[in-house]
Amino acid sequence: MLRKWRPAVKLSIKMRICLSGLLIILLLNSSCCRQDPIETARYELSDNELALIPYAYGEQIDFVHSNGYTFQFSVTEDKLEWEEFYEFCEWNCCGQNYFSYQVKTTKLESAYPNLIIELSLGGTRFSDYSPMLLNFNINNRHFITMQYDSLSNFKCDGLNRAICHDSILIHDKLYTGVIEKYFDSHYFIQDSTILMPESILYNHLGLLQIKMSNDETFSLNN
Amino acid sequence: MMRLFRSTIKLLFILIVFVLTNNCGGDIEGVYYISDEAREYQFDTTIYSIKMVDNHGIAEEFYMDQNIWYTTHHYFTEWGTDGKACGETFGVAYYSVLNDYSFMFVLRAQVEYTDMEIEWNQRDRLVYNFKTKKVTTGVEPKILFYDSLSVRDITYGSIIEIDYSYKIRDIDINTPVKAYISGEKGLIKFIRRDNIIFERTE
Repeated sequence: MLRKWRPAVKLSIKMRICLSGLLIILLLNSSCCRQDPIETARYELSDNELALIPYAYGEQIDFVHSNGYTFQFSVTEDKLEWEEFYEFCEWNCCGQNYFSYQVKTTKLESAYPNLIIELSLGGTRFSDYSPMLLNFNINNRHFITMQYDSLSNFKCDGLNRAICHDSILIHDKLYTGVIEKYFDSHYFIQDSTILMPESILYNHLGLLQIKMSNDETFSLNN
Repeated sequence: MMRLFRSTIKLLFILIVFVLTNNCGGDIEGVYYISDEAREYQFDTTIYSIKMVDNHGIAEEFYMDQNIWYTTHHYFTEWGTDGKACGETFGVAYYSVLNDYSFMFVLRAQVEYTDMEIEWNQRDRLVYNFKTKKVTTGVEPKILFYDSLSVRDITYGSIIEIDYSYKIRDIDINTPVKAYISGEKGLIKFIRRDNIIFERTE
């Protein structure tokens, strides 16, 4: 005759709840990491690098459109922060080594046209550590990266569609040491016939001009 | 105690099944189409980009959004879970290159009426019921329908005018105070709160 199986020790509901709680605490405790991550290096932006974005929070910069409309950019953000870089790790990531790097982010905003220009050194909020690169985007849709060397001079070559000009004349004013950089990518615009920002002119004074694909320009109005 | 607990669970399960079976489509059956009145505003989706210029001579261009579900502009949505009922939907969305505007226009068949949805910059969305002639969702603008409007010497047909002039405090800063949409060609004109006027150029 078959006998109904019964546990050797009969536990009350209260006891079962207590045991389950203990098990959960045990599991949670065993998954905690007690090993501190170790910093292996620190990469600080040099003064020369920081000078590549020459804007200060609250500053107003006058610009003019090629048809005469004048407007201002306001510097709405200018921050210098330390970020940490970890190698990608999915399991057992306890005590992983990392290095620290400095990121400078500056934001220029205009009321009309509705432009938000974000400049960054050291990295962007879309990518991890990116040394020797000045990142530039308009409205998070039109992107440029400009390479520079260890002396913080912009690198100019055809491959990166970057042209260096000794000097360039904008609205009767001469600007020296200018890089002309074409946009690298545009978010979800595949059609080349659509109006787009085409290139920028940039030097130690910051952004000098945005050139559109229809030849309209937005230029510094000093 | 345990017996009472098990009985409660069983009763809850039966209740959930009952509620679900009574809500899955119910008695609705058939295909529901966009009304004839609303279909007049099902504009040309082969127009991939809309060229505009403002009153300062600054060019702007809206391009069709290829990122979200508006790549299929015309489709039927199944209602419920039994596949016995579905409604026709027409939708299109554009982004602008310079000022980063987004503009969405949807016509959606319901069982007894058709809705029109217009959304700017994912901030201000209105739903207009073609049967009751009322705005059911969002800040209510003055909505006018008329035959034609001339913009930069081009006459466009089947016009919808959306006018938030009297609700300017209730809308987002970047939502146009006035917008004009052609049922044939889409967005043809809009006016910002700072009186900058955008007009279609082709």
